Amino acid sequence: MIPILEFLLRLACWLVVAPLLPGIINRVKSMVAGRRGPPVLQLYYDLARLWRKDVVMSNLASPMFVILPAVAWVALAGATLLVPLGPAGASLSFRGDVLLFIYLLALARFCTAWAAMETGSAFEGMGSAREVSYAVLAEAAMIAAVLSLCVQTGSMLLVTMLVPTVGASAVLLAAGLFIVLLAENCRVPFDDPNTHLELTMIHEVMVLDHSGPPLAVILHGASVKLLLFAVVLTQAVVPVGNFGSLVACVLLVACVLMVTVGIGLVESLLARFAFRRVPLLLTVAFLLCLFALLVAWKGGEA
Amino acid sequence: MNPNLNLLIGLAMGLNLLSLGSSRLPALIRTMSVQGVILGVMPMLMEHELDWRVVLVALATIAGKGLVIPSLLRRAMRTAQIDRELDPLIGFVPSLLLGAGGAIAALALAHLLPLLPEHADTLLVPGALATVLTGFILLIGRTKAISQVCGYLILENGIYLFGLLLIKAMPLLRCRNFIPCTGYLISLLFVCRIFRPHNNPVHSPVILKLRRGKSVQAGKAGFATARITDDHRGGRIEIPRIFATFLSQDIDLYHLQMFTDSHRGRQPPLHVRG
Repeated sequence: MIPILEFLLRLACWLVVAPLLPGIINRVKSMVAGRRGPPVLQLYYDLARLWRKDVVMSNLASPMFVILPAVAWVALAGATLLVPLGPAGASLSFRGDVLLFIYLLALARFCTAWAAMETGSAFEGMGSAREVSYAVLAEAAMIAAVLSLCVQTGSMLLVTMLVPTVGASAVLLAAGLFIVLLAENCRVPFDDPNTHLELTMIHEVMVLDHSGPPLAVILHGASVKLLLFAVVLTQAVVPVGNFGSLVACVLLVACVLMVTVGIGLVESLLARFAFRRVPLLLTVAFLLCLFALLVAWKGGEA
Repeated sequence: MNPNLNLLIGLAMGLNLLSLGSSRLPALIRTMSVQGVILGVMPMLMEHELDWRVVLVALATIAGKGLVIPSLLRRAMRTAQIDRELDPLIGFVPSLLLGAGGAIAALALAHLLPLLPEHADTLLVPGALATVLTGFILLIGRTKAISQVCGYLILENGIYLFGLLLIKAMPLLRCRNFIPCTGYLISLLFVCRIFRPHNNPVHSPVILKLRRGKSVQAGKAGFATARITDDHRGGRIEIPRIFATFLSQDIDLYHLQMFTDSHRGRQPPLHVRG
């Protein structure tokens, strides 16, 4: 009974905490801009409001239009189960779970892109095309990062993989993963989460025609993904697992908060990149992770 | 051998990639100069006892690569009003990937080379190879003269890194100075050649300014106003005599001369009023 309870509690914790992050980012942005900004809990209100609304569906859309966001959300919720939380370990852990983690993220993206194309709008098709073509580069970086962690620790388990070393490799990995985080979560140098009317947006295009509960599920899934990346980035760089449970918990929360504030600062201080620069930045992220891999490999040899 | 040295070489290799990825001239020049400074610091880390000559050479390198050459390049960029955007023949992403591939290949290759045991665990050889390769990519893949100079200087940084291998084997000043000095000379030649306007002097910034009735800087001493009686077939520039001597010291005279050369025939070209 107790393991099941712990399992559910942990999942609930992930799902409940996640919408806090966009709120914090928005608060940081408005503070930098000298505004008061929306409340930190704004996304919770939005989700509750959307949940009460009806779904407006295009005549062209099949039932998949509603089902796919749910599938994407389940994939992301499943991915949270695989991610260890410091010394507490993960809810689910088996050899090669890191591959499942990557594929679950890919599945979520695939479902969002497919659901976007269900409406038959050329605009959303364009958004899907952009999202997927940038994902090719972002995933290459992600896989290079995972490989470098694999080589560092010689394991394929997320729990044992996320035991960082100190040095050049960690710095490279942190920089690379942070860029991947920004790209995967459609934050500023890649995409502006505030725009809804521009032709340059990527992720926001895809969710334009969603409404009601499916949109709520998509928004919540996006926040869960943000939290996932923040936690993975933290644990890939900071040796959270080496401390006692209380210290580790505080450290993890502090680091995730730091990453969130970092995202907010990046959003306030940077403008979105010109479209042709985006592949360049993603290539840089890939190379950073690749060189982290090289350092890990060379360091292991010496 | 020395973890600090390896860190510096790693930084220099990172700057290689940065130079391949930067799309604007000032960024490229800055990257190159920072790399030069990093390279200049290296001899001080490599020598165990600090000789005054080592410090002198290091300071000279830092001053030359970090200050003099970049400022010359910036000046050239301003004087010739070169467009800041680089126009690459090889795109930024492909050249980045090429550079990274080259760096990895250099790391792999360095294992195969029969190196001295004290050099085996440093990044000197792979760093040098990667830097030389970066220089080549910049030379091949960028069209602007200044970016080619930057490519050349980065190539030369790689040669300098190779030169550091010989630091023990050869007397300090001879080895360290010979190789880079040749590089400096050639690169300075490059820099000087940029000052020659390749384009039509009629459209040179100085002439355009004068046409608009503005004054131009004449030498270090002051400004000259010149009056251009303007039409395309016969130009006539009037310059107060007092400034004519200063003008002759400045690069601007070159433009003026070209301008007047191109209009020679109809009217006396440069009319000095006094």
